[in-house]
Amino acid sequence: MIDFHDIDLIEQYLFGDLDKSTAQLVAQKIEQEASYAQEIKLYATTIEAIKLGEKAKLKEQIKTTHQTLKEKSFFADFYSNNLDKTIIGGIKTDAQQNLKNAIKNTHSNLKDKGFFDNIYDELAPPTEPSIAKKWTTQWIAIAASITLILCIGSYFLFFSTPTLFEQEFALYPDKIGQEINTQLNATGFKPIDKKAIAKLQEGMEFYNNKNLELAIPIFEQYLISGEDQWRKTDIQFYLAISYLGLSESDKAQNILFSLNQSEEFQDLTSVQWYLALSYIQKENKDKAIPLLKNLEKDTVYGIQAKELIKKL
Amino acid sequence: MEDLLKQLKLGNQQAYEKLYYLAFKSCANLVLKNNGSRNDAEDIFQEALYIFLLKIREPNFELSCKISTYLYAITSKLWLKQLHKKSKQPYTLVVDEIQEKLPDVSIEQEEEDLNQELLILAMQTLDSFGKEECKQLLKLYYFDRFSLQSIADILGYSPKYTKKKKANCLKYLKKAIELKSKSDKPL
Repeated sequence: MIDFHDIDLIEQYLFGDLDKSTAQLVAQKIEQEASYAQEIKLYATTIEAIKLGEKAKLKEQIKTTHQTLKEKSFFADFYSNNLDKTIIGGIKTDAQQNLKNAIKNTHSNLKDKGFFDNIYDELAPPTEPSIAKKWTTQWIAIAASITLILCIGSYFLFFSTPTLFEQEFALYPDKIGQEINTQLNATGFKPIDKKAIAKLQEGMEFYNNKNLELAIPIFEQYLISGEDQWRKTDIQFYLAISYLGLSESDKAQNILFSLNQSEEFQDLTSVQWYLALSYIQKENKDKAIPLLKNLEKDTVYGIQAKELIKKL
Repeated sequence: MEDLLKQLKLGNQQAYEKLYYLAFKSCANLVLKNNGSRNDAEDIFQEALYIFLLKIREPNFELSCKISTYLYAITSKLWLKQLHKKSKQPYTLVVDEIQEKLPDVSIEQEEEDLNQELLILAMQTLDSFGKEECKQLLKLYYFDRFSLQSIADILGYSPKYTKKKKANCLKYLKKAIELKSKSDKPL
């Protein structure tokens, strides 16, 4: 005889754990007896209410944990460590590789100049060298030294040349022009803001026409006019790119650093790309390469980053 | 790992923090590499934790990989879903090379088809339900899905008493809901 009011049976029915025939009997009883159906519904609701209450508590506890870790600087540490480790790792690997390449190049150049042959000649069993031969050997040694100095010099000269920056630098595309138009045509927009946006439109026109020296003061003015301007981080970014275009890499870097830490600015890969270019402009290869390595798998900058690393 | 799962079910704060140390780094990297911001990374990770903490309570749940791998799998699904929602375009995630194969996890949550008004009323009753021991026992059994034996160990009861108490608590709570619903309006 089945006790239809037995809690274990009801529970098993609700959890789908009953065997098929018993489950059918319970289902029949639910269909035939409204009061029994009501009882089952109440049990189901009670159990669901317990679960939902606990789910809400679970969410709260996750939030609390997150907040606690934030207060312990877990996230700040994570982000800075992550960046530091990448940069330090990149610098080490890069420096080792450069060192190997420089040694290999120097060795190969000296070999071409006969430097080693002369050394071996000198080390050969002593025969009385003629004065002419002595002079030749000395001149070759002097020439080799000069070559070595030139090799090393040209290695750094190659890097320090601004040509590479000029080859790679292109203005970040205007992604807000259309939105500026929308804002200007929107109704109900505050007149003072509309004026500021109109000025911004002028700034973006200068920017798009590569009149960066004219765009910069407009962007600067817009940014100092308040705290929560519309599209603040975007304008900061365009200002940084404009500075970079005029070789004011320190100013550009200050902004790019802050955008790199910003939670509002979305296009962090572009920030890293221009930051890398700013280092190239400043002839700081050690800092440029790790940033470029971070971008190697990026869909937008990946190919350029790889090429640039090769060139460096 | 079993102990960590148990501590998570019991709501141990240290265990929750442990999950951050185990998995936040890789999960955040995934989001950051795929057009996400730091805010996105943190929000998605919290959502992934929530799903994971519900999953470990499912009766047939078996963890066949590292917790960090499991959380990474949930995060990737959640973030992909969000990217699709944002751009309406197909997107292929750039994922890290990890040692283990990612498990196929479902991130959809089932919802019970119940009378919502009655459910709200039931939750209100539960909030004001004074019997804390009962609430704890019912939580351990119906939400955390611990066995009666485990609950007996946790609460220091005998298994027989645990079973009896659990049945009584449920009946008691059901009765309270029934009374409240009758006093408010007919079901």
